[in-house]
Amino acid sequence: MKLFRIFLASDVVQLRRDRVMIWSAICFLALLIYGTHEGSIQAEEIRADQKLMSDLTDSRLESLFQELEKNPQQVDRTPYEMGGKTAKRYLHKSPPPLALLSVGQRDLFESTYAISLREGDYTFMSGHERLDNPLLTYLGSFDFAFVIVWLLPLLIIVFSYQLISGEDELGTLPLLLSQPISFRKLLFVKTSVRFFLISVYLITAVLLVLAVFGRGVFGEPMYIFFLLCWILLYALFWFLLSSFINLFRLPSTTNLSFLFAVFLLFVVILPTSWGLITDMKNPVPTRLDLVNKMREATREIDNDSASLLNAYYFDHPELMPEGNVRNMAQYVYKNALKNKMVAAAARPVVDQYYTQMDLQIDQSFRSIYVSPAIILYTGFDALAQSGAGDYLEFQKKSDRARLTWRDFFEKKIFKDDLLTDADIRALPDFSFTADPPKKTIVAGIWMGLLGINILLIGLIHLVGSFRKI
Amino acid sequence: MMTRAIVVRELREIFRQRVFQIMGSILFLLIVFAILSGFAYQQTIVKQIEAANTTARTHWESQSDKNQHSAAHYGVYLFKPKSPLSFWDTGIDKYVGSAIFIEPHGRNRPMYRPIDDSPLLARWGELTPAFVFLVLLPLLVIWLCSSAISREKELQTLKFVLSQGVSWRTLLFSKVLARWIVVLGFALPAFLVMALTFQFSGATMEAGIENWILMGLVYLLFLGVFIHMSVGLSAKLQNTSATMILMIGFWLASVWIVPRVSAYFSAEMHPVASAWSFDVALESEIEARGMKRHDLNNANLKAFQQELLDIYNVNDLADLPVNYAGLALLETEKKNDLIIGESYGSLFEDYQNQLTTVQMFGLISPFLAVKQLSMGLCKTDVLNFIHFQEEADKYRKDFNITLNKDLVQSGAAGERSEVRSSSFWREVPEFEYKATTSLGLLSHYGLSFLILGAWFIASLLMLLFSKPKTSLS
Repeated sequence: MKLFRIFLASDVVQLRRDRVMIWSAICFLALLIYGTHEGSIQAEEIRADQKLMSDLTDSRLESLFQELEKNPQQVDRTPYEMGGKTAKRYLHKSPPPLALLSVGQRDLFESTYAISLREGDYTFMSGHERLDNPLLTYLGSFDFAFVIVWLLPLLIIVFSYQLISGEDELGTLPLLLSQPISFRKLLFVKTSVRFFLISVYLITAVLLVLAVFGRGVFGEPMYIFFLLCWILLYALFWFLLSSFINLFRLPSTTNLSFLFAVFLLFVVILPTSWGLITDMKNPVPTRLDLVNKMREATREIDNDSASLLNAYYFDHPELMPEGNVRNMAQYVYKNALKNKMVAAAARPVVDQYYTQMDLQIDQSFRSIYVSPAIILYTGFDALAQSGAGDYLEFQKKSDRARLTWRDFFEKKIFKDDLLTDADIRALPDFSFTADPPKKTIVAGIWMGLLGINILLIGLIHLVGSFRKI
Repeated sequence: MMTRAIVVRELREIFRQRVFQIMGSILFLLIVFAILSGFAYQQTIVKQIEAANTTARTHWESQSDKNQHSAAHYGVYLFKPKSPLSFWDTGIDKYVGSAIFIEPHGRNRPMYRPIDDSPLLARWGELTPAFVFLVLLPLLVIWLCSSAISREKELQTLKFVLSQGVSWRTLLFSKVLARWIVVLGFALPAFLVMALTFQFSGATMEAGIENWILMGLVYLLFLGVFIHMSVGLSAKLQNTSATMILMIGFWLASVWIVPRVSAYFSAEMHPVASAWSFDVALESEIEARGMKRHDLNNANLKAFQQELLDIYNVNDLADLPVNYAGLALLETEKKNDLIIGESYGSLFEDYQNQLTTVQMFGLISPFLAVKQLSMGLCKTDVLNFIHFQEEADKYRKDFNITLNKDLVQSGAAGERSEVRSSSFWREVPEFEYKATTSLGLLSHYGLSFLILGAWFIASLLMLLFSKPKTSLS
């Protein structure tokens, strides 16, 4: 402990004089502030859009109910109009308080789906692409997760690559080793001191940016605890790596090259190549394939909806409207029947899509152990509920909501019935609450980060005991 | 003679180093892997597009007998073709829809983005040849060049070499030349492979050999910036580590930080409406200024009906001697298409402004400048995406006009009285996409080209003025 205090005091003095380190720390903090700010703005924009949609929907429904009270005969009660336009609603996936941590897939997928008879039954095929410039989406997000996952390792590398080699090159190492301290103990104490300093810096910086830009982020103290621990474990991994290379007493330049090569491997090369391998192992049916299959599946229905309608009424005589059928109504029945049969025909394609996506997500989760950077990034996505799995869940729930909505109106459409007051008041309502991060994911992240550090400590111990310094 | 001797000695030293052998081999393998996997993926997609186009056309031609307007609603899918160089730099291709559904009464946006099929690790970057050349190769360059002069200083050999009568210029030139030779050793074979793909890619989108030449040029300009800056800094700074840290910092800022900051900055400068607000605004514009065929209170519809009644001097639309439904459809599409065109025009103008802002960030990141050019030349950029949408929209308008005109000519009866069969569906022209030309594209990316050129010249100047104080010459 005494040794720790001595080295701590000497490191603080040394770091105060080191301009490169001071500027690196200032730049890192500035980038963390900027990244968190951008992440919070992105989440706020989605919340604002969703609020606007909800307000407009509420006011539309309020006018409908007022009209029902005052002028019930003025209300257009045809099911197609009511389910397609007048009572149309939205299902939102609201960004949680910790959304500012990671944009994740939030800039790719929809956070809102319309529930209406005019929409397709399957959300991912509805074609409501986002309007953001694809170039900007491609360039990527500058958020909290990016700063920590990509930039923190580099700060640590600059901070620690010459833990021992620096002393060696200055000629002070023999002096230090002439004191009653072993080389391994010296390395351990120096690494601990630097790790302690960076931990204090990181905890302060993270809590500061969350306090400034977050709204209600401290409502879940356990998640904040997880967040800080995961970041520190990630930082520890890079410190241990530095410590490992310093064991070999190589020149500082070689240490720097090695550490940077490992950074490239874990943060750039492995994730990009692993993405390619995962895609090759579990390819989801490509969208082009999907278009063709959907078209093929629905072709017969498109071509022959009139005779299908007759067959449908033959099977369901109880739904046959009484009296003459108006031309427009005929069109609506045919359209409704077509949508119903298209949805049924598309079901196998949709199921295949979801099964493959689930498989890919599962596969991808197992592959997070390929790199500590992916582990931490997955952790951020889990806390921010912005992972591909979160959005797939939302798509599935939206699909179910659309099918429920269609089922509600279906019988009325085929019987050519108008909606009663009771029907209108009993219109189904939907809301979406994202599940908290899955326990398996959280446990996987803890295991991954702890495991990789334990492995590295074991390796350092092993190499240290074999090498005679 | 002296130059040759120094170059040979430098090359021998570089190739002898274990780190170079390992890093160079890994990089070489990555280039081969990226080219092979990219080319295989491109081939799969090219075949799928071909099959999808054939199927879409077969569906259209073999649809059942129906009225022209019902056929228009049956619609047709158009698919974005691939450029032969798209395997080299996939650009934004995965982030944009690959198919547009053509139907009456509105303009659909491209659907089915490939990124939706594999969103999990795709955001970390794609291992394409462009990625290896523009992201990874500069790092090898930094490693190769950071020690070029500073190592001589660390080993105290610089003074010795200069005292032997070698001029500073000759030494510097030879060192830079040796590194250029190594870089070209990686680049030239890869560029040759790129040239071969023109013959074998099977991609239908046009792309000339000038794209290949320009690609080679801009890539070498970019790599030159890193070579010159690293050697220049190596001469100025006292040790290799300092040069490496500074150059890695520059790489990090250029490749990872500035592009992301530029994306947020340009989105803030030229905000684009959300899809929902865009659609709501467009709908209300059409209600205000366009024509709603089924809305009897629509002023434009009323005026149009009155005009027809006046022209044919009748009191009821049912008494018109012409096909009212066909004429109303023609007029509705014409009026509404103007408004739709304005809305999308303004959206694409915002995209262009955002692109210009991103290009301006090239001033602090040569990577952004070369990346824009690379995507543009591979035709996987945002301008080609806009171009495809506009071409598809021209086809949509012609498609609807063809069907509506035929409806008008089919007589005075109502909309659904006559039907057409497959012989007529076959007469409707197919969509033939004409890609942008390279020269046209360069007019949009001239700014990036200028900026990259400026970076190259600046790096050369930096090199020329990098003479260390310790030199004897």
